[in-house]
Amino acid sequence: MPRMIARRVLYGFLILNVMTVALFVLVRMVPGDPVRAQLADAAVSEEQLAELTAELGLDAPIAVQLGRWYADAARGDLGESYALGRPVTEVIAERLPVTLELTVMAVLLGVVVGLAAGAVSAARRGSWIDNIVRVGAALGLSMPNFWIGLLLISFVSVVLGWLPPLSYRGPTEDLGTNLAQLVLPAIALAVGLSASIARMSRSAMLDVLGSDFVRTLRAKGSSEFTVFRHALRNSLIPVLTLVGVQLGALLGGTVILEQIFALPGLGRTVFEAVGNRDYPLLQVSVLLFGFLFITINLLVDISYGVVNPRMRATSR
Amino acid sequence: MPTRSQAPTTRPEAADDTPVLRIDSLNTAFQTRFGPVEVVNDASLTVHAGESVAVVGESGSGKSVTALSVMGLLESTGEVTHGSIRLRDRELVGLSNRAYRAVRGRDVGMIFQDPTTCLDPVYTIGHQVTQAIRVHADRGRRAARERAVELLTMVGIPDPASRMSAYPHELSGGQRQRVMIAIALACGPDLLIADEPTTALDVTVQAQILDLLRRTRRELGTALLLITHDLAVVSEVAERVVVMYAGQVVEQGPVADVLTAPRHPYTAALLRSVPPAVTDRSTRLRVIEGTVPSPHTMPDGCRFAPRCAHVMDRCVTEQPPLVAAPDGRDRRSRCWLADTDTPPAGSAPGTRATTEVPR
Repeated sequence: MPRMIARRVLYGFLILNVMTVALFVLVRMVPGDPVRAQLADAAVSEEQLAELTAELGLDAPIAVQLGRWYADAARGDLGESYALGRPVTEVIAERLPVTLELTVMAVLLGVVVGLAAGAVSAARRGSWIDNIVRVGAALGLSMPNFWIGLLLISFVSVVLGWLPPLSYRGPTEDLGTNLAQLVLPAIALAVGLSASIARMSRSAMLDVLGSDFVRTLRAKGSSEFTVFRHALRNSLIPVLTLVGVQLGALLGGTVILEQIFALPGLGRTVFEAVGNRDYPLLQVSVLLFGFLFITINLLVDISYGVVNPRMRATSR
Repeated sequence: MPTRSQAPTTRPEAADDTPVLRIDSLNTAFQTRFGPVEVVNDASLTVHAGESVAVVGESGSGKSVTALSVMGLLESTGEVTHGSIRLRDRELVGLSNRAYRAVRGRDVGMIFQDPTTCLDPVYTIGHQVTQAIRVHADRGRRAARERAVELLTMVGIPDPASRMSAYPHELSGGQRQRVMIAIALACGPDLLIADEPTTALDVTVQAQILDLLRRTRRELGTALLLITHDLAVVSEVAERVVVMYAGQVVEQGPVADVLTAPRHPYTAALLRSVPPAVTDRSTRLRVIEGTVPSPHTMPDGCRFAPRCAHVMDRCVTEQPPLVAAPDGRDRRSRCWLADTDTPPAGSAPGTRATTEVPR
């Protein structure tokens, strides 16, 4: 196990570096330049533009710029946002928690709802509950999360006459407002996840319920509840893998949903940074998404050992 | 074919006359897309206290389904449609799920063919054995653990106290079957049903497991219902044998009698298809021509008629009943020739329905 973790950390580090380079180059290849984006309407001469470009170091070859970025990053300096005029680290520190909270809420919601729906659906195979879950899961999978977000917000405002408060409050400032602001985007994100988890856990449970060891449990005289508990624990293994994979989609979803729900999170930061060609901010926020994805997948892999004792023995 | 020298019936509890298990004209059917299919038809058998009875038959003969019917563990599409299954004095057919749960594990335990898949891979051995004890006995965690270690010692798991925390994948196939036996015996049932307990194991391990089954029966007095397709296993372990073919019991009686002088042509053919001894390559093996009829195309008359060497007109039209043999030695067979003086099976080795295969 420790060797597996060390190897995965090393891979993660390599992937992040590949991402850094690819991102750095790609962003600069996209048409439009940051200086013009900042000074869009101001009447500035070509000389002034060139001067500013040189000041930001954007006139140097990309390789040189990349070298500088790495040198600065090594000293803990991730640059300053062009658009906001503040250090990137400061901006990120402010916005990352919003996205983390949203993601955690969405994952918890998705896993709890999806697992419960899938497990009950498998245990009551062929019943009306099973049918509802199967149709619901198919629907949930086929609706894009931003559309669900829009649907939710119009439903809530038109039918219930309620709108989530607009100006963002952190959970420590005002938990009630904070949750009210996050619940709708979290649901929108969780729908797809819970739908795929429901399908996966349903089929995994059905597999397990038909297995020999479940027959052994019944032969012991165990209650159906005990059988259910054993089956659920065994079907967690494929579900866990799914959560790791789906997380990428979920993190991607925050980019649009934070925009729709006016949440000042990392996703919205990426969105704005792209519009502004805010290279330093974009670089770090996208890398952070990559870092989150890799870390969570590593955690998922580590937790295999917890749910599946066979992994503990083989991956030493 | 090794023969048993012991007397066929020496039971520890001879005084108790109520059989541990009594199955009477059992029919079990499964719902399929093509309508209900009867997999077991008119099966009857009895297991006395401490007795060891083997049910033999090819795959598809209904022997496993008979066992699962006793346990009430048929798949959801299966159902006992007729007959009675009595465990001691208790009728099991029609028992509610709740009442059945109280019987399973406590009054009757079961072990299965493949020990590699029969234990839950994510729980420890100790947990699974302890669980079997605590389902029925109101014991504390510590007491149950102590009992579990005792059970594991009894079934011959080396260093049982430390193996309690092992997971199934850390044990060999033979050890896992031992654990299964410990689980099945956890609550001291009157009857142990073993469905092909050695089929999935190495030959050397097979002998050890059979030995363990024999020993537990001797020491605990647990009756054994052994489901197998292996006649060698039958002669090793059982006192009485029940031969099943196409869902019906075709012959039953003391092992020594049935295996040496079969009364049903199917039993005889089955015996001829067994290698006499590993070293003897002089004789040729015979296969039984044809296949077991599918439940959809069951013959009207005797179910073995299409493959029988002694088939008569009557066999094709009329189904023979399971009748007691004239010599009265607790033997029954389902053949029109059974009540004649010359048992068909013992005579002329059927040349028509059997083929020799080189070994």
